Amino acid sequence: MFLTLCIITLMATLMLASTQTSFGEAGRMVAPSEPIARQLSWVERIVYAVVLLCAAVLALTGIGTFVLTGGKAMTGWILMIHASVAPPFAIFVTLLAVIWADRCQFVQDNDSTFGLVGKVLYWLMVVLALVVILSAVFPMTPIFGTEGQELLDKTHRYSSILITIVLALQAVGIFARR
Amino acid sequence: MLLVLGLCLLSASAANASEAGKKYGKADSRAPYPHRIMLLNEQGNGINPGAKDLLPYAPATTCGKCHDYAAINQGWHFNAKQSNVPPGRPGEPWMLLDGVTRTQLPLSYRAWPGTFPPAEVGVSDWQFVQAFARHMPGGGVGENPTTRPTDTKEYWPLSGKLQNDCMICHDGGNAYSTGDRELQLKMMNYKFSPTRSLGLGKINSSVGTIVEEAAASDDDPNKSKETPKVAWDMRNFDGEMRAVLNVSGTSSPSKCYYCHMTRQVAAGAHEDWQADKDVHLAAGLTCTDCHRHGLDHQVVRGYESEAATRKEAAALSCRGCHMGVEDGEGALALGGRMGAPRPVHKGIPPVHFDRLSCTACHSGPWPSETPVNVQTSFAHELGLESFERTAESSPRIVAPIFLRSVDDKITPHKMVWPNFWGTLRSDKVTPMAPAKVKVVARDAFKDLQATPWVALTNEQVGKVLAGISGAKDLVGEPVYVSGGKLYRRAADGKVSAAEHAAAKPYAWPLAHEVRPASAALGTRGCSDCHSSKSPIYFTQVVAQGPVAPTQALSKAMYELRDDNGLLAWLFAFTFNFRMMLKVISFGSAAVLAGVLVLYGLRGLGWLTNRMG
Repeated sequence: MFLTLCIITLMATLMLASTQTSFGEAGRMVAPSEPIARQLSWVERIVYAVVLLCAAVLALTGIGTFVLTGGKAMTGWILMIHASVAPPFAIFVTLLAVIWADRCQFVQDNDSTFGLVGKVLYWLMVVLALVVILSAVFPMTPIFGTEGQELLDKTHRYSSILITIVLALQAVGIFARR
Repeated sequence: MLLVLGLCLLSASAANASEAGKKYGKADSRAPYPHRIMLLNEQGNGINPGAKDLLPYAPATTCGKCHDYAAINQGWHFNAKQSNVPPGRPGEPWMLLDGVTRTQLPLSYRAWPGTFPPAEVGVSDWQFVQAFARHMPGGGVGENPTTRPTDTKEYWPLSGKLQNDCMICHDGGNAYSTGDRELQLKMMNYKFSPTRSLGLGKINSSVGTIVEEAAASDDDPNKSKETPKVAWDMRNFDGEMRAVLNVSGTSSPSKCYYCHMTRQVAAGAHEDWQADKDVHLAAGLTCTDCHRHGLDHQVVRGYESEAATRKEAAALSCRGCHMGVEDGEGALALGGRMGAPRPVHKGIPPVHFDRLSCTACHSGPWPSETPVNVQTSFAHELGLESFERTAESSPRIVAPIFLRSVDDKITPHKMVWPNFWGTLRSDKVTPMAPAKVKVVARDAFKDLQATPWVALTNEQVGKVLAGISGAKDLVGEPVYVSGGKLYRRAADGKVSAAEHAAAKPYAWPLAHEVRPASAALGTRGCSDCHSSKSPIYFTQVVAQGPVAPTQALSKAMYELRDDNGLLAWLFAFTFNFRMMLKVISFGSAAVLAGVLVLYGLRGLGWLTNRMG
């Protein structure tokens, strides 16, 4: 089942990325006034770009390897790349969470950068990022035995799929041309 | 008419079935069965020690009277030469040794890759028994020898067959003497050895003496009417001339240790008394609690992939005993057999259990910068008194060497490098029998006889190769395999050495002594294996044997597994940043959680205000 989900995720992500020009309506749902990309400061753009880049590498090495090998775990150079890109992703997604937290509050309407969908996607990203990071780092501690490790592994896998989808949808909304 | 015939046939088969059922009576109890029994000789006749019967007792008829001897002899300890027996995972070979020719050659009847069939090296069944029966229980090749290769110096009619000596394992006390057995075998008193070994009597002569006397007078020893005779010790018999035997259905570890002992030797090795015994034995288990079998004596060897060919072995592997069998039934699926603790393996990602065997972390000598030299019963005659055995005695076996086993998991092995003279043809090397090498190159060996096992110089190798090349029936190019390399002599006499498949070491998985969790790899953290000095990757393994260290092939552990060294080093290097990774990850998680909590509370506050 996980393999199927991985395939669907990859295909959906690639499709979304390649057809972002036609997602004008999605863009309006994410950002009602004008494309978010134009409203971001250069710091925000850099942080977001790094997050997307790291997420892409992590998705390709993690989910991509799983799909291409028919369900085998990462090994060798792929694993090294995945483990090397994970810390920058953690740092920059945290920065993004801090930077955009105010803008994505549901309670304030004075900032129209993000629409409702955009805000929902943001908070999903934060929650899933927390789950992905913790499910990756807890196995490195002598806390969980084999059963716990397997549960954490599954949690990491499924949350990775979800955050990949969320980031892809978010990117479509942010970069969609009207 | 047909009905009558049918009824007759039915009653006859029933009679046969009942006869077969009666043939082997069974006690079907764990309580030991007292063995006050009449001993039988090889003809099946009862032995009357009081009447000074001179023939020895024969296990095949004595034990076989109540136990299906033929079925027992299909067991793993006896079936090496049977062609229809799957070889299974490679195991310890027999080492053909000759100090003068510097030969150390792994032999096996089981065709394990890297071993040689004895016949290929010119070793007849008689010679094999002479060399190795000291640590064989009998049966097999000792009881059913073949005549190929032909051997003019075999004396089966005099010595008798070496039957399966049941009491070598099933003696319930300490009566069985392996030392006496060794002496009897050296004297070629094969059929007499069970009697003497168990202390039932003395043997007043030897086949060896008879052979010498016959040869001295130019007679055929096999036609001699002389034979050793038994002088029974009456203290072993009761008033009814029945032998009083202490027979145990299960063998104690001391019996197994005689053949299956390993000890660490050489520089840096701890003394024997400092070595801990296997954690299972320390916990009160015996060897046969795991290595079980039925009457067929098909001993469970205990490795994980054994279950692929023997489903019942699955519950007796490490995983099967400790964690249960996935498709097992009842209690077998649960694990925890005989109180085996269920491993928790905290902090170890499950991928390790796909890549490593249990023994990789839990068995054998603790991995160090250099592999340890070990000696074994098979190769070094442990268990038998020796005044010559030293830490440097050949063959030089090293452990642990981490290689991939038949199930593709990294497993610790013992390893030995073959050293032999042979002929190269179509890139395949065929060993030459040491006796033949000494004959064809006798001139070259004149100076070498005084220094057995000392490494040869290229010049000495060249002289021997030149001598071999003069042999009349030579097929192929004479070569010398030593220290992981193949030595060849060019036309101009120069000797060169290079790596070759024929010089590859032979390795077999080790499983003991098992160390407890507190002494397993990983107990000190990931760096036990994931560091730039980790033995499992970076230990340099230097070929050992009668070869100069400077000429011996040296490879890192990862090279022996055909792993990528750069990747191994780089991966180990990243572990230096592991703590930093954890700090970053937990720090990021803390901030993310903080954002969620803070804005969640804000939202909650706004909601309650709205509701208020």
